[in-house]
Amino acid sequence: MKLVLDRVEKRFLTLRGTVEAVRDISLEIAEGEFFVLLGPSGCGKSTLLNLVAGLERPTSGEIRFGSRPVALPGEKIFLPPGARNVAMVFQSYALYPHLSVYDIIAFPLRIAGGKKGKIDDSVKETAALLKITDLLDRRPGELSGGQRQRVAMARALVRRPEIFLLDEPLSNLDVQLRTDTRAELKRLQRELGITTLYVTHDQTEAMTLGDRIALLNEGKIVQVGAPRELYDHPGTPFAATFIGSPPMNLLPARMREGNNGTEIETADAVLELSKSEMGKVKGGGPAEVLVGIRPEHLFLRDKPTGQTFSGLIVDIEPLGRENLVYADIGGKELRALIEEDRKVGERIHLGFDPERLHFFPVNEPC
Amino acid sequence: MKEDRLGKILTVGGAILTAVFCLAPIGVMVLTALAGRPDFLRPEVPLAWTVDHLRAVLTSEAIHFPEYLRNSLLVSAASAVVAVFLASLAAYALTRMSLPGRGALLLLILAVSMFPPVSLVGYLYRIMASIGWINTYPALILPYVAWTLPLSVWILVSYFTRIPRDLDRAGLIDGCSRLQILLKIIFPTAAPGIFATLLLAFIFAFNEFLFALMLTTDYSARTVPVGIALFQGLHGQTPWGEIMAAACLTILPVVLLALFFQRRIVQGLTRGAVKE
Repeated sequence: MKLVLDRVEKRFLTLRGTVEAVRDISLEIAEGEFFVLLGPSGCGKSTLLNLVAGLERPTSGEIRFGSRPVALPGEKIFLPPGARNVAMVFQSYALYPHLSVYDIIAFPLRIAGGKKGKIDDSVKETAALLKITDLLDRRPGELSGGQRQRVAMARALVRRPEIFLLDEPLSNLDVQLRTDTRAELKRLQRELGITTLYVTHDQTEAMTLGDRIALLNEGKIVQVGAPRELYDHPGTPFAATFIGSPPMNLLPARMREGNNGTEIETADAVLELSKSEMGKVKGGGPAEVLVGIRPEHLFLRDKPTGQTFSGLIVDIEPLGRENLVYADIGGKELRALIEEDRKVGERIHLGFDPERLHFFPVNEPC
Repeated sequence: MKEDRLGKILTVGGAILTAVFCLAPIGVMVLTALAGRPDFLRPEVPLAWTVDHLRAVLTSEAIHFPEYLRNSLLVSAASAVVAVFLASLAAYALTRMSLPGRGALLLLILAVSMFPPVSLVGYLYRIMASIGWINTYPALILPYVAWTLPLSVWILVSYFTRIPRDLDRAGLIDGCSRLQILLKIIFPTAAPGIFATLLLAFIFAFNEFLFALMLTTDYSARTVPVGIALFQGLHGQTPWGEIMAAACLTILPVVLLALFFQRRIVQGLTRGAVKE
């Protein structure tokens, strides 16, 4: 089922005034697509999910499932969640504590008034799909976090929903389990081909799971695109620092025409880019810019050149495969991922490929 | 250690003192009910045990104790069930709706229960008299429901607040109506709290005296507390033995209820503390 959001807005009235949780969001999510809403807490991503689920009414705009409008305030159309055939997995799992796993999975089917034998078949089939057949007699209180998460997924999938909504479903699991479950979730979604909307604040989850990602901040869409696109071509400083770990270095800089091309004056370094190199650089133009470079795109040089940052190492975090080095470059901190071992206090020269530079206008609203 | 022992002695001694202080009247009640004469503690009175008082209370046509007990049980049960059901609807709305001034509303509900009953009973009598309900069950059930409602709402609000709202949302997604959520998800989850509230509302109605005194006239609706207070001896003297025997029988249902539901109540009071 295709999912369309057309200029959706949501405002909450509180005692302290109006809160604009979702501002003018338009999205089109294709049939069977795994779509991720990514953003920091309070960016409106969960509200957006609730709007799609029917737990909240939009203030204006339209939400369509396929060609069927499910929320259109202008014409007083609003379908409650039960009439939308959506399923949702909550961060807290929200399992009914007084029911057995079997009854929890059967719950939505019973509410819909299914036949007993058919319900039994569906419950057992879904339990097998999620490998929880041996847990059917237990209560939620007797399950581990990972098992609860599976039961929550089973309850959501048992109805074969048209749209599958997940609200940070993995954030209560420990790291190892999260990685395993992530892979399994992706496989399951492909197999079933259900249009999926997934909310997370974890950019790794977003990158690994999503066919496409919408990055949100302060209720607005910052950028929409495939994970690689967001990583390679962040549209704003916010997108640049939110996606990628450790985050991209951003340095205020001044650009000017030099003798052999463009000179970029930043921190205490002057970088020289030839015309042909400048041609490959995205953005650039105004005199005052933010120049960005990802830590993984910096590498060690033996001596300073026209394209190096030089400074002292202030801190080193060994990550196993590589080291995260914090260097002090003329009062600005620069993060670099390097494989070589270095010591705190050493002087280093960090080079880069000019193509890897990103330029953003200063003071751009996020 | 010396202080340890002293502390222990004080603790145990204090506990015994408190228990004696609380239970002594009940002891006297039981003894008086079973003694041959109410002044059995005087040295010149010979001590004799008897079950005559108990038998009289249960069988004597003139005393009407079984009728009083039946009235009390029915009226208390009915008002407890109605009050808790209404209170749960109110508590559900109060905890789930985004209502500006929710706190003020809760305080108002509490304030209503602060009126002394004696300030209401006069007009209540006139209302009941004008609609001809004096000496009927509804005449007692209605005021009891109104009177226990604020307390019940407060207790249930505190229970319902502890139930995560994600459960409601999951219910909505699963296709429930709001009423189905209340009946199929909230009630079972809050069962210990509901039981505790039911019990409190029941005991309140069971113990109530003033309304029952004013709004009933004879054994067809009169409840136990009033019935006992109005016991008349044959020759004008106070029939202590019968009164105490009736009192013994009266506390039985409440004691049984408390024993029976003890585990559920304790579970209800402690569950939220360790889980979540």
